[in-house]
Amino acid sequence: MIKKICSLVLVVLLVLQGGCWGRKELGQLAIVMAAGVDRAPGGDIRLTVQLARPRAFGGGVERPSGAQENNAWVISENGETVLDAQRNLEKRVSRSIYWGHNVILVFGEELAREGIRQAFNFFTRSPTARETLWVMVARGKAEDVLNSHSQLENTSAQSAGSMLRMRVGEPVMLKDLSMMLASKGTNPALPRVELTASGRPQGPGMVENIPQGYKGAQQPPVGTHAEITLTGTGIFKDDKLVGWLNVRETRGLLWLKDEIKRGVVTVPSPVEPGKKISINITRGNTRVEAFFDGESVWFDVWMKMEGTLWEQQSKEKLTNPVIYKAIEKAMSREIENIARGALNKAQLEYGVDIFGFGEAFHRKYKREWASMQNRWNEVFAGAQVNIAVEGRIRRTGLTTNRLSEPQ
Amino acid sequence: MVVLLVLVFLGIIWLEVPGLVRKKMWRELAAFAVFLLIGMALSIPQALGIELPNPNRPIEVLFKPLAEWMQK
Amino acid sequence: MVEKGKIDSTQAILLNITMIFATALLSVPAITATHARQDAWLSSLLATLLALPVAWLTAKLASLFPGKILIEYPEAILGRWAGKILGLLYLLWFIQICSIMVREFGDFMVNAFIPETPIVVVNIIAIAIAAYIITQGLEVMARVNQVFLPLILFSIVLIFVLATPEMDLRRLLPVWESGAMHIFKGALAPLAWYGEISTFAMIVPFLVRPGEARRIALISVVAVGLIFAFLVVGSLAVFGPGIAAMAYPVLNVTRVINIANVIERMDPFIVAVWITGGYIKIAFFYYVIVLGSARWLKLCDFRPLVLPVGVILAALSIMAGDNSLEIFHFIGDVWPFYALFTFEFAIPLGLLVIALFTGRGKDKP
Repeated sequence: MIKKICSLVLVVLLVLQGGCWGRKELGQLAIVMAAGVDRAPGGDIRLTVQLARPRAFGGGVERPSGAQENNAWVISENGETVLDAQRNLEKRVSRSIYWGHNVILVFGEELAREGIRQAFNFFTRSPTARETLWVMVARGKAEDVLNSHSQLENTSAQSAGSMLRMRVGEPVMLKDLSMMLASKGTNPALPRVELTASGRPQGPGMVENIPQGYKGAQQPPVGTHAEITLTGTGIFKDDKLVGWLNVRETRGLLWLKDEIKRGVVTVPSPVEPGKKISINITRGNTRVEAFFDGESVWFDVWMKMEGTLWEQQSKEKLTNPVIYKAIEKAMSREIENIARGALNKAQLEYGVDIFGFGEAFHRKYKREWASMQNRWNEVFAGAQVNIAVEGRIRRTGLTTNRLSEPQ
Repeated sequence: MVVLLVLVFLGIIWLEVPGLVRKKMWRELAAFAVFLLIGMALSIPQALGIELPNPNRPIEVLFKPLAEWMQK
Repeated sequence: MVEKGKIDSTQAILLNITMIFATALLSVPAITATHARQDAWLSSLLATLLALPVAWLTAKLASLFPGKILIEYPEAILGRWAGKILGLLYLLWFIQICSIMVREFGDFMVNAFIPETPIVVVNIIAIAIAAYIITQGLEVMARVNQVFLPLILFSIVLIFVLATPEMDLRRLLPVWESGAMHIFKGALAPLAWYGEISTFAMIVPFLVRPGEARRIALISVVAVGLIFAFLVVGSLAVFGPGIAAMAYPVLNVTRVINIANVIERMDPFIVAVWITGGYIKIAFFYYVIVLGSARWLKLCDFRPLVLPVGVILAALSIMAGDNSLEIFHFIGDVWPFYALFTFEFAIPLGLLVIALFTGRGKDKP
């Protein structure tokens, strides 16, 4: 009997105690959607976070004014380290900062040029932050980039994350960045983001500030909406930003790294000069092999690309094998050009291997690698790269020849 | 903290001792008492905030050369 | 007879697997990769090979002394006093490694999931549950394990299958880069883990067919070796040699799973794996301590010793180190030598040699 009573008391106690020390309910969390790390004057770290505003996330509620509400709250704080800055943030945020749903991590340009190792260790150590968050580098300040919202997604962070998931830019997760930094056979390349004017704002208070002003216009227009935009790739030497690739070169980078998911190749018409043909790449793979003859290093790259011809400005008959063979040839040449563009920039201008060619070399020549790994970037810069592209048009959409032409 | 610990010990004694006495298992009772005393000696000082020596330390010292070789 | 339950051969194999594998899945892949880098999987296979003699030795000793458990062999071989002392040392060894296991368990939970909970609470809960399991006896423990081990293995396979999109087997290349010495160094930690098979000698008399002990021990080691190699290959394929810097590589593998943004955040699976496996492992060693003590003192029942030993384990688990780094250092750099040069291999080997020379024990193998 006494035992039964005791067990009962224990069970009741268990229920009352609630169990967990670190227990935090959803209502006590400030959920970080995006984090930005900048260099603050004086050598501190400036941490910017985009916090989700839970009320604005509630779906289906009609807002009386009809105006859109910003779903995120963006604040910044300085600190000696990221963790220190987060601690300082908590002086202003009423809830405890929760990293578990963080989608993107953006490094500011200035900090990236000094080195990013100092800024992301916290995210790999803390058990709440995920290794799967997308890492990118901002043109200018990360703080400015995060200070934005998205027209389609709840927050601009989710918008940027979704674009990377679709491989619009070089997709790098935190775990990939760690691996790239740990390897001597490659250097990190992170997608570059900035704000660009993207249509009109949906209501008062929804206006973004584009730091460099509206590009292409003399004066920043009143009331511009700006979205986080992927505008290329930042190239790193070890952990320091050394330069940029533009959008076209970024595609070359993606193709050379065998991360092809989609893309469009536009080639001139083989018959009518000035007219263009566009092919939507659906599938492809790239194989890189390293060669070493004791003196020089060279690489053979085989690329196989398949696509669908989806647009034709010209009028040639595609059903003619000569024509489509010519288009395929032009497509292969264009793909090679794009890849060369990225390669030349990396080899000649910056002298860094961002393609993982060093890894390919390492896999094949493990003995030679030992003496070469510490000067790999120079070896890479002087290496000859042969690219062979096999472009194939597999389909032409719903029409074979032009529908609007008299047959 | 200490009070809680003492309560735990009393609870353990209360759970085990009556049965042992009833069945006249004196040998078991003696073993139980010795183990419990060792347990008390190891836990009560910790509850009081006294740091006890780490039992793994002597072994670490003994195998130090090999451990250093491993770290190379 | 202190223990009346009997377990069959399958249950014994499964119990051996959990008994070795449950903590090996935490930090050992990282320790191995620290030395052997991308050749860690070779290390783990080498360790399996080297562990076979340990398993054979264990079973051989057990076959010489039917009805006796590990801590009673010295008495039969070396005589009363020396044997009693060596038996006591064995008990202390089991207490020590069990407390380290409890600590490892607590560190993992606190490091990865409940950073604000005091570790002593996690440890006490683990010990309390283990205490409950062992008061039910060996047979119940074996059956619990028989239910849970398949689930554990299924979860692990599931995790690695879901992680295949993140894998690239080229990360295992080039093979044999680190060289024989580093591969051997990397094999030491898993070898010390596989060497825990020597604990199996504590339960051989409770097998339905003790004659199958050798087969059981060898199969267990090979099974554990293969599971562990699978974990190492999987973790390497996801992260490359970088797993060396991770505290719990398999957990990191779980965390990167993301299939179509729907199947992600699978960490609870690995927690389930660890909690069930870890509790059974702790319970097994806890049981061995309590059973061994009872036999050493010639008691009729081990149950009165369960709770006092639990208190000792909880206290020692806190004393085992100031921080998790100290524990990592101990299990990575000290424990392999400590285990192999003493209780797992060297002492049993010495005992066997003496037993064979003096002709003690049953003559027939």
